[in-house]
Amino acid sequence: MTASHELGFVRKYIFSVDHKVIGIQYLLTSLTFLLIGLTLMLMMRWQIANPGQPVPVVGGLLESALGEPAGEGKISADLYNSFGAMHGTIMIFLGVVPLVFGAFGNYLVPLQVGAGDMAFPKMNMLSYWLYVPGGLIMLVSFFVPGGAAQAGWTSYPPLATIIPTDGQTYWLVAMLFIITSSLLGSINIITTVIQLRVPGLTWMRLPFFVWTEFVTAFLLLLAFPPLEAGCILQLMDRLAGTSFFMPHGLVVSGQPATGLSGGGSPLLWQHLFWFLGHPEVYVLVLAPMGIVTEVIANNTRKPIWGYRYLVGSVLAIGFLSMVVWAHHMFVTGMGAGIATFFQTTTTIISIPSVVIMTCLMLSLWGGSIRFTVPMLFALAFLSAFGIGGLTGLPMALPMSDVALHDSYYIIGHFHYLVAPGTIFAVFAGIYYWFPKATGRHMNQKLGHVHFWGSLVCMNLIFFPMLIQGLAGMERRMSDGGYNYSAAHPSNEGVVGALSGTVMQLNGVIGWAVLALGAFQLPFIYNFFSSAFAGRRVESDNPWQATTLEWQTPTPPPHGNFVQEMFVYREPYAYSLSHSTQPLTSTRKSNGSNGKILDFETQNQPVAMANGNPAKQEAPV
Amino acid sequence: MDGTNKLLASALSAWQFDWLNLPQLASRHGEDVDGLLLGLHNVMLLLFVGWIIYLFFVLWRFRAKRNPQANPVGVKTFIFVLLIGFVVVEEAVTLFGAGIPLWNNFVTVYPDEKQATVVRVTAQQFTWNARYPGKDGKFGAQHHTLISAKNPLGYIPSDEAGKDDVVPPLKDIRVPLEPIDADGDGKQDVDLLGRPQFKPVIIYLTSMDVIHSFKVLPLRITQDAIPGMIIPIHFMPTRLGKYPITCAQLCGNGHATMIGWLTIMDNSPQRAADGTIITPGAFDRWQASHVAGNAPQGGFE
Amino acid sequence: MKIPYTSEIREDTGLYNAKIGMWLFLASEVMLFGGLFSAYVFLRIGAREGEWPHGLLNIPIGAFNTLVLITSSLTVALSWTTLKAGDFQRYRRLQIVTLVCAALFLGIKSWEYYDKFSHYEIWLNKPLTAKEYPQLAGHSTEADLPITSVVGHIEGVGPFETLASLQEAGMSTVKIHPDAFHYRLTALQQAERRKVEKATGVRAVHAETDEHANVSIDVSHIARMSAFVPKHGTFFATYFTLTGLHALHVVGGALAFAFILWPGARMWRDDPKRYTNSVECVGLFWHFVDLVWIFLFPILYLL
Ligand code: HEA
Ligand code: HEA
Ligand code: CUA
Ligand SMILES: [Cu+2]
Repeated sequence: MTASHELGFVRKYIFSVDHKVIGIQYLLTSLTFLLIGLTLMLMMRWQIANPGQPVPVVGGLLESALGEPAGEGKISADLYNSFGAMHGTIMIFLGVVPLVFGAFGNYLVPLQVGAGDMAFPKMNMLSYWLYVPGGLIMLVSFFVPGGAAQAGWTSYPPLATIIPTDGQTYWLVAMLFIITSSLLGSINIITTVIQLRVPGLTWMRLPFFVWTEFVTAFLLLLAFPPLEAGCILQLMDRLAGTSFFMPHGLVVSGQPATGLSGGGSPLLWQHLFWFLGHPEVYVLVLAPMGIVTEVIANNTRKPIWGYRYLVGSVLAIGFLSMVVWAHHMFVTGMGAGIATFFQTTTTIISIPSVVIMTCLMLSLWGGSIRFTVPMLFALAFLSAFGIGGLTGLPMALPMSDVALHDSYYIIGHFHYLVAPGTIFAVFAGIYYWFPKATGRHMNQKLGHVHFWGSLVCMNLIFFPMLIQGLAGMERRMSDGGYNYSAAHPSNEGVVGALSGTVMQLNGVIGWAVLALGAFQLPFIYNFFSSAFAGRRVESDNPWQATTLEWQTPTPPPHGNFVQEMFVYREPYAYSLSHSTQPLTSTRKSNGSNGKILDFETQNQPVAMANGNPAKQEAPV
Repeated sequence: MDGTNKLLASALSAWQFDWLNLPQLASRHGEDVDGLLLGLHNVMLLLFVGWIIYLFFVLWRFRAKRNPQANPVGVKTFIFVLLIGFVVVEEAVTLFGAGIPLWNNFVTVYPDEKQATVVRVTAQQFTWNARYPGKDGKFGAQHHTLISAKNPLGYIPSDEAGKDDVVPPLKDIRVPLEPIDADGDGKQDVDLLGRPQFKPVIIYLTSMDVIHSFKVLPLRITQDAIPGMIIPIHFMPTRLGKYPITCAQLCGNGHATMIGWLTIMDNSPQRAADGTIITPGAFDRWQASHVAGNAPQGGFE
Repeated sequence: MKIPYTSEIREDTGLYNAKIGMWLFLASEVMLFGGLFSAYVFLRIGAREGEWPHGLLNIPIGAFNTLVLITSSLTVALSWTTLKAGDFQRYRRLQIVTLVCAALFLGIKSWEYYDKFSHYEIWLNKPLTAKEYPQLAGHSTEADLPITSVVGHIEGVGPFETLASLQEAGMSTVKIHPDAFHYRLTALQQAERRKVEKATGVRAVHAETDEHANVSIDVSHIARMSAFVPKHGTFFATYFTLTGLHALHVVGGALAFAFILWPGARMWRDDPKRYTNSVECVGLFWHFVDLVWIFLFPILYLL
């Protein structure tokens, strides 16, 4: 009956146009990239903890693979910089964005809006098949002479341009692929949400996750092109010898750079980069907020508190995130006026985040909380986002940022948001929707091991970084700050050199990262074994959820929905019939459109087959 | 009455208790930086602790076992308004009360060059060049066509103004800690808050090759050194000592080793009874021992 | 699996999918060119006094090309309306005109490019004065200020040469035919000259005589030499990047039209509505590309 059955393997699983298959392709690819990013970081943390020591186990492998930069299996400064830059790039552009947007967005948005597929299935396939070569080019760049890009994920020129490796060129080309890929993806998501909502699914009835993906799509659509422009210009600088980012009178390793026309500006790149850079970080966190919202609503068995505030806030974040970028450039010599503007906008943008967090927190009140594995990860997200977000505030003011800029405090700040934040939310999402996608449950026990292990390790990794940062340890130090430590001979008598305890934390972090890696193994095993041998789901809606994706057969066939549907209420109508309050307070408190619903159980589906009496009371 | 005062005082000192373990402070504006950091972190701590306590209480109170049937009617809206209101007010106060005014004052109000120690610092992979104008208070002229490994800053050897410039060894920057007595009452001046005043320092910062960043955490200053731009920064030293200069911007494979040292020296001369100077202050002696003369200056290690 | 609203419109939004898609794509394109335009502004404001060259581009040609593009936009709009009216043949004729215009535009552009590539600027480490080069008397300025750079064709030197390549070729002197008023003075002198020109209203350098003033310059006096290629300076860097990217868009649009016109024409029989829509969407794109040029022409050629 559905088309997919006539298709051969290749059309069905490789070059598929089915949003679910593409979503899973995205999931597996991006998770693999996360793993690569973690592996790079493992080696970096070893190097930081024991500078100059050959890397155990993989050292020889490194040398044979990468040659001179990894001489004697040691991580040279060049290699460290490559790994650092690639860790950031891979994690953000090849790991998390494709994961939260490509994988979750692709798989869930059409299901949650009741659509049969994306608006442009072929374009959807294309976007995945632009992402893959982009990723491959990135990886290949490790093996070109000179190694991969070494100027950080921010690729500041002139360094990025004068650095003697083709890796940077590969980086730029790969970025162009990735940018194009996510442009296509975002066009697809937005059009799908606007055009393919089922009848009755009004904007205020969209699951919050759809809202977050919608705003994410707009951020990618509008913030990526300026970076694309920047990449084109930097490519020109590298390949055509132009000077877009090269000022006059530049001196390269002691010799004046003749042949360069000069006249460019290094700051221009920073503006182009951060104009994407900041919206990008919200791309990393908005969709995870959506995932967490779904999980919390489902596991507290009650509507999300202040749905309308959530929607308002996520839209506000979307708009504001376009006008805060220069808070990454406070120390480039910013005048009073500009600094005033950007610290104000940066402080303002933290308010909607606070609103979202507070709403989610208040949603817990009065719930009947089930501690399922997804819920555990979701709760961890809440507190991690608290730490990460709050540590953003001191950096938002240039006056206090001068003490924190470029220190491990920043590393701690954003890793609390992206690692125990985003990554945990992603885990929550995987455990939560796994039954829908595969028809099987993931193993609870392994899930708990994975959760508690990761939770402890994450905090052992990132909290010490905040301490180190305040004590003055800088990021991107291939020797873990040894040159700045009191232990270094040239520093005796120096006030403010890094103390022994601060340095020892490097060791703690190193081991914690190793342990973190180890605690991912149960997950990986769980993921694959459950996919084929996990406990079968007993119904299409094992979590008794109320959103549309649970209305499909399990796993959803090509075309998703079998019966025709009509949506007649807001997404999180859990336990509403038990409301002890009059209508009005319901309206106030849960932001629903105030309709008390006419059914008893907690797992009433959101949509009824056509001709259901509910249809009559639908607002048109 | 007195009791409440004590209470207030102790509360205040508790609020000011420095638990951030920031490095030794050695500059005047740094006091504002630390105050801001500490205040913010206190509030953050409050928020977060309250937040976590609430979280654990709710998780215990409303766990499915204890509360099998959820109540969809949530918290009263005014609690939400209260929380957000608190955060908004707190942020508005820090922003408009501290963040904006402090920074604007810091970047707009510059000390007078004549009353200040002026240094020109040029960053380069992977070291720091310093240069002082010397007696005449004028720096030697530069031209980028003269740049070579011997003369990396391209100073014009024949230039008169350059003859008395002071060029210390690489990575070694020093400034004096001189009490100032502008009103000439023989006593060190104090500002409105009664804090003793010292001779301010102005640093003109630039870079030859890539972007570096001049960060001296004990002075609470960070400023990128950007090729093609000369950016001034200023501070008032308040404490003797030798402090690390951190390069706070990735600048290549030597980035981690690009440490320098900024020393705040005593400069009180040794005077005879009649007040004539017998031996000049340590800083002046140090300067005198590094007059550039005509030799091409700077250079790589 | 059938996707709704591919050709018919959804009543509550009043649009069909592809149109939304195209508008969104154009939004991102606006941000892309917006980024590049702001880069242009950033660099131009930051440029040193007298560093930003003027009048190196051929304005009449540029203006003509602008006309060509506008015409093509016109035919696109017409072809779409005729197609809606169901007149496929007329639509096809109009679209062929469009494609011809596109080809013409690209042809002219590449000719312009080529002309630039064989044009040189020579920066001197030893300024030329009217004393050594009498033929320059009165050209640089009334005051015969020394000249720090000369722009023109170099005798017997094709495109893309560099100082290094000339030295390899064993040239000891280069003979350059300076263009009209393109002696580059030191920044200060240029400022001076512009003041004079403003005051007197006459150009300090006399084009007609310049042709004869060909100067042979000792290679050892050349500090830097570059053809009018992107690396010549930030102006040409911006010029080639912006116009090049724009040209790529023209190619893309033309290819899309051509595809719809011939291989894609089958759809006209199966689903005329959808066929018309695809023409409309690519048309939107075409108008946008046209609009970009309308911005490019003044900022690069005129300002
Ligand atoms: C997911 C990613 C993410 C998110 C969400 C944020 C959120 C924020 N970030 Fe962060 N940031 C990054 C990722 C992120 N950042 C990255 C990657 C960098 C480094 C880039 C680099 O240089 O490599 C960075 C760097 C960075 C800087 C530059 C520092 C420097 O280079 O000197 C600044 C400065 O203003 C900043 C500020 C903020 C602020 C104010 C927020 C705010 O939006 C935070 C708002 C959140 C809260 C305020 C907390 C949530 C609320 C609560 C917990 C409730 C508390 C309780 C109650 C209210 C009851 N960030
Ligand atoms: C989304 C972004 C993201 C994420 C998730 C992470 C995750 C981590 N990061 Fe990273 N990091 C960055 C973005 C990110 N980082 C950026 C942008 C920089 C700055 C780079 C620069 O300086 O330019 C940086 C820099 C950075 C540094 C500073 C390096 C330096 O300045 O010298 C450190 C130091 O410890 C670090 C550590 C870690 C650690 C331990 C994790 C851990 O949390 C890792 C967690 C990962 C996992 C837990 C893997 C989960 C995946 C699986 C389990 C796979 C399953 C697979 C299948 C099922 C097939 N990161
Ligand atoms: Cu210089 Cu880092
Ligand atoms: Cu930011």
